[in-house]
Amino acid sequence: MKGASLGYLTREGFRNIWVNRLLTLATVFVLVSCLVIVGSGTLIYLNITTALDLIGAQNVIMVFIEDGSSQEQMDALKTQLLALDNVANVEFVAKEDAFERQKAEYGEKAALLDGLSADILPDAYKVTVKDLTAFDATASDIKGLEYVLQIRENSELAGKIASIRNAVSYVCIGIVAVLFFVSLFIVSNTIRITIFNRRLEISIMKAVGATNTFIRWPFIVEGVLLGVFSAVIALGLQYALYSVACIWLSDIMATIGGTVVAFADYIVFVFAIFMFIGVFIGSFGSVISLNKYLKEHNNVVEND
Amino acid sequence: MLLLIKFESVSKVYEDTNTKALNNFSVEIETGEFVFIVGSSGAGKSTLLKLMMREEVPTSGTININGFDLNNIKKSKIPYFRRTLGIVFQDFRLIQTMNVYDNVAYAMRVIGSRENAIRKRVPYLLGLVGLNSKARSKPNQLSGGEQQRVALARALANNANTIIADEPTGNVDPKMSYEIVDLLNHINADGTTVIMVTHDLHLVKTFNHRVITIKNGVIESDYPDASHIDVEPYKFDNPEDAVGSYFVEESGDDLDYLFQNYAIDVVDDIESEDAEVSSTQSSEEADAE
Repeated sequence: MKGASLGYLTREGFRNIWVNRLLTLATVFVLVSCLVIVGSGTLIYLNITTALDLIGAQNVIMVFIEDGSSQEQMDALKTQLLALDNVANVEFVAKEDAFERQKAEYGEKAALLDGLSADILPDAYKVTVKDLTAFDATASDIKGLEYVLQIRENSELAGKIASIRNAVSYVCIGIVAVLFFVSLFIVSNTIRITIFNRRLEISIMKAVGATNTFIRWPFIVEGVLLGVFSAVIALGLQYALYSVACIWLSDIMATIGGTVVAFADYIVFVFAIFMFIGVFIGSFGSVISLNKYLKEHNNVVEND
Repeated sequence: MLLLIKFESVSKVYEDTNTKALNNFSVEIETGEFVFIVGSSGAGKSTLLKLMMREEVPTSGTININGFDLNNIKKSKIPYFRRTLGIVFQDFRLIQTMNVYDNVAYAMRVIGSRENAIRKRVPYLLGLVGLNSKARSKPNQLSGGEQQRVALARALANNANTIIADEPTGNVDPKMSYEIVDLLNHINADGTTVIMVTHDLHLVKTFNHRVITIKNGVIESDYPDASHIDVEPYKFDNPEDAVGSYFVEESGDDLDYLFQNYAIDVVDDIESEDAEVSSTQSSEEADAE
């Protein structure tokens, strides 16, 4: 295709958007709705995973150190712990600190500990794991290390958190995939109405000898532009909706000691998703509809 | 004279309705001819045009137009074949959102013509059909006759060597019908082949060209002129005023002069551009497949 033609057809794409503004609005409305649902799903997913990360981070392995271990031996254990692949963090908990915390937890019954000293407890390392699905294997590895008296862990909770995370991921991916195809279907049908509305132009183009590429191009340009417009509008709308949603989401997150995911942190990610889906659905929807139309309507002499 | 259109034993059966629209239809039309095709509704005229435009393929028989074998033409070549024809419809088929200039330019733009060629060609064509002063008007601001003249200018835009007119006077009054066919007559005098489907026997009688009558999908008669038709030709009180005066007024020039001189420059432009187009044609053809 020559540059002049490309320029003309691109201008035609812009012109068609304005000329067929009512159908343009309908297409943008459908596309924006789908994008906002996809965006909401993505943000809910991000908040759920953040919450799960928070809960997961609280699910630690307490590694009690053998009594009488020297400082060098304790340092060696820490080094070995940090060397494990699935260990994210190792924090030393002195027996004195642990004893004081225990007393605080006992509250009014702390008097029961009177007469006892911190020496009844061993020193410990609080180990945070990276991947909760490998929690059991990591706990087993730690058990096998030198200077380890015993460990305390809650593998059942870790397993549950891992399962929830997986389930949330699959459900979110499934919802986004279904919405993607639903959007493609709706948008291609909306564009089909646009094409049907412009059947006279298409029939004239065919009568004067335009190739199918020439006929398709303005519709593809239009589809891409609608995708871009929709992505921008959806981003603004998503921001507004998320700001409102944050009011009650922040209460939920506060109960587990976390905060909601900030929209600003993911604005580029969300916009990239919107642009990709919007442009892809807009252009591909146009091509699907137009190919179908060109196949079904071969008329030149008779007006549809 | 060169043979331009050849239908050889063409039959067309629409399988969905089991209708036999054309039956063993054979005709030859030479370059530069003006042919009227007449016949009642359902005679097979529309099917004939559809076969000419390669909208339909014959059930049997062969069709050759402008050197294109329409039985075996590749799908990707059909647009290039159609560029050799200009078609005018009864219902004008102008794009209501575009002005007159853009409606004519549209035919050139969709085949990839350059803007400078369009800027030369469109005013010339509008001058030819007497509508230069209406270039910025929208179709709904024009009379039926004016709209048909715009459609005619559009059919001529790509320098087609054949004009196919499908009842072009069906929606206009007799005087305007006369003007439109007179314009076609001038275009034909310049060497363009004109095939016009019509019901208006007065026009056929008036312009007195070859007349092919179709009935039930077969050629009932094929006469070199309209002498056999027993109707009165159109007569206007002052035909000289009615016919062709608009373009002479606007261009300030004689129509034949326009055809012989100005047209040549534009045709040269189009031809040099065609050579350029053909170099990119192969890639477009691949896309069109």
